[in-house]
Amino acid sequence: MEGRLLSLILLTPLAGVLLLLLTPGGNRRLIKLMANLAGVAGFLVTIPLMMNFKAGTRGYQFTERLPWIPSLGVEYALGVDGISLLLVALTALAGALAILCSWGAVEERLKEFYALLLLQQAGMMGVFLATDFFLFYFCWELVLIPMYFIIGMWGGERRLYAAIKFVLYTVLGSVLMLLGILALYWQHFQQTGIYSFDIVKLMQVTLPPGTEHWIFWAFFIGFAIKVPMFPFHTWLPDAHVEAPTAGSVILAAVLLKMGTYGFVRFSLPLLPNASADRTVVRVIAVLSLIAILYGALVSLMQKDWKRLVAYSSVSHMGFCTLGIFALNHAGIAGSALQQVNHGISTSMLFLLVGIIYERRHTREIAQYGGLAHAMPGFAKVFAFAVFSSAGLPLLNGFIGEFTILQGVFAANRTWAAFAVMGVVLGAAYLLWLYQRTMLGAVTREENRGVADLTPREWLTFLPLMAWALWIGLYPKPFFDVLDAPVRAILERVAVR
Amino acid sequence: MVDAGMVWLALLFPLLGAAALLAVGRRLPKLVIAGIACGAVAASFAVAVAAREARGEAILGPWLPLVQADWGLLADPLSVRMMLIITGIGTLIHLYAAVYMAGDGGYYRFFGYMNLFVFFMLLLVLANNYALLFAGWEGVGLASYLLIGYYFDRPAAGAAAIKAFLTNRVGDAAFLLGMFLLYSLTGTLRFTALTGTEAVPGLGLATLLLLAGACGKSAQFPLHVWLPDAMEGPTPVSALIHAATMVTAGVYLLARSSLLFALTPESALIAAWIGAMTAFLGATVAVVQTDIKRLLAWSTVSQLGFMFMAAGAGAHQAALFHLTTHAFFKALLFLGAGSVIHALHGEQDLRKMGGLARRMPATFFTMFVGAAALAGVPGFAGFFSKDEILHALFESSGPLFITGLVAAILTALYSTRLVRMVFGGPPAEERELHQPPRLMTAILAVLAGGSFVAGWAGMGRFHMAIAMASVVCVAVGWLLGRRSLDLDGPLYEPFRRHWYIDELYQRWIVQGLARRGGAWLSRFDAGAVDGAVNATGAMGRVAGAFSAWWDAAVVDGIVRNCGFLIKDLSYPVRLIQTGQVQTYGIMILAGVILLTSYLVFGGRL
Repeated sequence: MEGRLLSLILLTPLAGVLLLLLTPGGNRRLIKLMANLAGVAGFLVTIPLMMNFKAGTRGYQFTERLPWIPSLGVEYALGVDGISLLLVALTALAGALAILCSWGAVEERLKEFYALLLLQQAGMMGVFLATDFFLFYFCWELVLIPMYFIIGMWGGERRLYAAIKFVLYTVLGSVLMLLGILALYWQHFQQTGIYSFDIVKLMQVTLPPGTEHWIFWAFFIGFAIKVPMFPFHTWLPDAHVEAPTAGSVILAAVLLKMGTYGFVRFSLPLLPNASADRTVVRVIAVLSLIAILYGALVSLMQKDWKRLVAYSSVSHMGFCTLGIFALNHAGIAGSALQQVNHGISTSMLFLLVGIIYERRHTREIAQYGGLAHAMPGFAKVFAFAVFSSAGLPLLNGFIGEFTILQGVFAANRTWAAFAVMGVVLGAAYLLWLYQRTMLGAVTREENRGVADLTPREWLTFLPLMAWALWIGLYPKPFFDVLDAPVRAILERVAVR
Repeated sequence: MVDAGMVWLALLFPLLGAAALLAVGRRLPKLVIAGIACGAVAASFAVAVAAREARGEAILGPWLPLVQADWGLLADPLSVRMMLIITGIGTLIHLYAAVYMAGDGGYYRFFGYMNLFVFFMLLLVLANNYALLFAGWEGVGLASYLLIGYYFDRPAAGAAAIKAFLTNRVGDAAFLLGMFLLYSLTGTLRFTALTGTEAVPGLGLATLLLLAGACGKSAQFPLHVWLPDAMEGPTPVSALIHAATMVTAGVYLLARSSLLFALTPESALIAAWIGAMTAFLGATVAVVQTDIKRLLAWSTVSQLGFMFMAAGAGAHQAALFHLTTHAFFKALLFLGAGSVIHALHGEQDLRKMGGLARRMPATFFTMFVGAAALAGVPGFAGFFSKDEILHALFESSGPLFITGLVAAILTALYSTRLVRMVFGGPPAEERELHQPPRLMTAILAVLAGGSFVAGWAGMGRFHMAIAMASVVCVAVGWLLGRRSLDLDGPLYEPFRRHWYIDELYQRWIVQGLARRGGAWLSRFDAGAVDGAVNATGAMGRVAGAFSAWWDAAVVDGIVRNCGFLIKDLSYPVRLIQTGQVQTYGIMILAGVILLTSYLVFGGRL
């Protein structure tokens, strides 16, 4: 099994899809059980990976390689390093929780719903595990289709608009990225005479500066839309608001990370000269800073609970992109860790909105107030999520933000001074949301008898809370895992 | 005796207490809850007493590897002194609260937060590096947020809690930058490793940024606005967090960074002047307060200003001395105020009090001691610590000294006013009193003892001339306080409106930047940014519609027209397609004849 562990991780969700297709359609409980079984199995198979991963080792581990389309040099090639390891863990957990949280929320077309979630999980795993650019692109696009259906079929009122906007926007980015990939592929062929999509081999290409720049910008658009960076972010609030909770959790926890992962995995090591170009760095830093402050201010004034959380993602992901383009160890390691942190905190925030929406069927903040009276357990978890997201020390968010800011400060003090304002505003919109929904007297009768968290709902939060505390209290293992890959990236990208 | 390696025990008890209370406290009887909470802090106090001679560092494990910040604790005279104050006064206030809060429904929650606070406060003072100190720093901010907003039914409490947290966060943002700068200059955040630091360019900015952080936590101008509002929390909270311990964290930070400030005299001078402004500003506003807790809060702002003045002037020992005496007498005054409020069924308005001296003699006596200590009456604790501060100011700068004297006069003035309005004269309203339980009064007595003894115990060299000046100040303040109680005149308008600072922040930052800016950006986002996306989409649809028309009308038109053309052209041919076998027979026959004729005669024609 050892030699095929990554394939096992990749294929377990697909086995789950098969399992679901073989389950009789009439038995709803059985379908839900099977889906959860597949979700948990998908998580469990990543545990041997965590246990046996060797921190401090350079290069990819657990590599697998099989020819796929030999005539084009396409391979089924998998591997993990520290950066992808963390995202694989996040995907496995978020995938399982997305299935668990849908137990009471989704009642129509169960089989299709869960099958799509699992299919998507396989796609996301593929994105983080692929070391072949073609396979990566294949999985990148594979992720898109289930999400289109999940938003479009199980979403809210404006689900079609949101789903189409999401798909078109992302496809636009993907197409540009594909052009970039093909350009690299072609350059590699011209220089070596070999067709290959292997990331490591493509790194050996020497590109003319002009070519490198335009490939960089092609990649940039593809990744920036996914992150999403300002000004490409407006698909996000619509997609989040309309998506069912499971969709929002996956979107926030994993899909957005595909963009930042792309920067770290491809843009920096493959296009080091363009990535370290002064103008390029300045443009991206400024866009990131705008995202941090603008996202926070826009978040502050949202009337819709879920939309507020969606805009907070824009702000938080701004920290991640800023950290990456600080182009130093703290910046990139902090960014990689903050991607996990954002996944944890924002998943919690979306799960919470989903729970309250199931009970009250509204997301309008003004409809709430004093919920802490009826839902003390919910209020506690919400407070935890708020402080985790706002970067309170000894919780996960702080570790990421602190490290990113440390890196950014080393790169450029002015950026750090602006970014640190995002820390203040981040607390502002979250605490104000908390005050308006949870605190105060109960002003509406409907909010009086709202049921508190059920044991199943507690179960969705506990692993996230435990992980948040772990990172907050003892982040060393995470930094250890990130050390070697970040060093490897920095050896390619020397600041100039 | 406990050595540095065991100091972590002091952290453990309140942490376990908080965890137990917040997890299962809801189901426990009140006596057990109070037992756990008070026991935890008392156990910490026992550790602190046993560790009072402990010196050294203990590394428990790694925390932030990229700045080499560990879970490390440092025991030295400064941290041990803070630990004793926090756990000692903390135990007394916990005991008081056990009685004071007995009627409250959220008893377990209250004590859970209180223990959490003690944990973070101890982490703050025991941390061996700035990063871990910062964790405690933000942690006490969290506990303060939770406790200010404890009565979460009241909108004012929620608003005050947010205001406190966010104002502190502004300072904390600067603190963060200061840490990064310090790290980039020295390569370490560990206190013991920073002792050999030399004056490098940029160190001044680093200390200024740390100072900004200290201003947030210790409610110094211009970040002082949150402390008076924080009085929305329960009174024991005001005593513990917003008087005796948390708000002194800024003074602690300055003392902890004293070597760095010694290298950057400009920053130290700025600290002193911030303290001077705050001491004056806080005292002027305290003079016109009509709410007993707010008067004490503004007084705290002002007294913290004194400590900053001393720290800025380099007299860290004087600052810490005042910190210690202030912890006693201000905790006493708050708890005494709590007893008065309790007795008057929740009344906090000074104008509705009066005449309580005879009816609550024990409270009167103890609070009198507290007020005397605050005013600086000779013999009481505040006299000695203020004397040292004024002496340090006298040595360092004339204007600072004068400001200190003016603030001292005002301190005596509002202290006199406080005692007179609560206890003197005839009662403003006749009502039945709720006599405070004996335990509460006993705790006041202990603190009153502290407010007397702490001065004599901590006294250093006595400065006669300064003492005379300060006695004159007290006398002047006392006379002024006796004379006029009517402070409604226009002269006092800036005092009543807190020098307009709150209004300024409200208008420009809260309403202007955050609300209006946020609203404008939201519209911009929906209109311009998303508008551009939707316009692109709409353009796509227009292009699509045009293509559809083009395809249907032109491209398919050509195809269809070709069809029609052929159809039209084929019209004559259709005429002969009659479907009758006979016709076809004739035509075949004709064809055969024609073909045959051609074949036969064709060659020759």
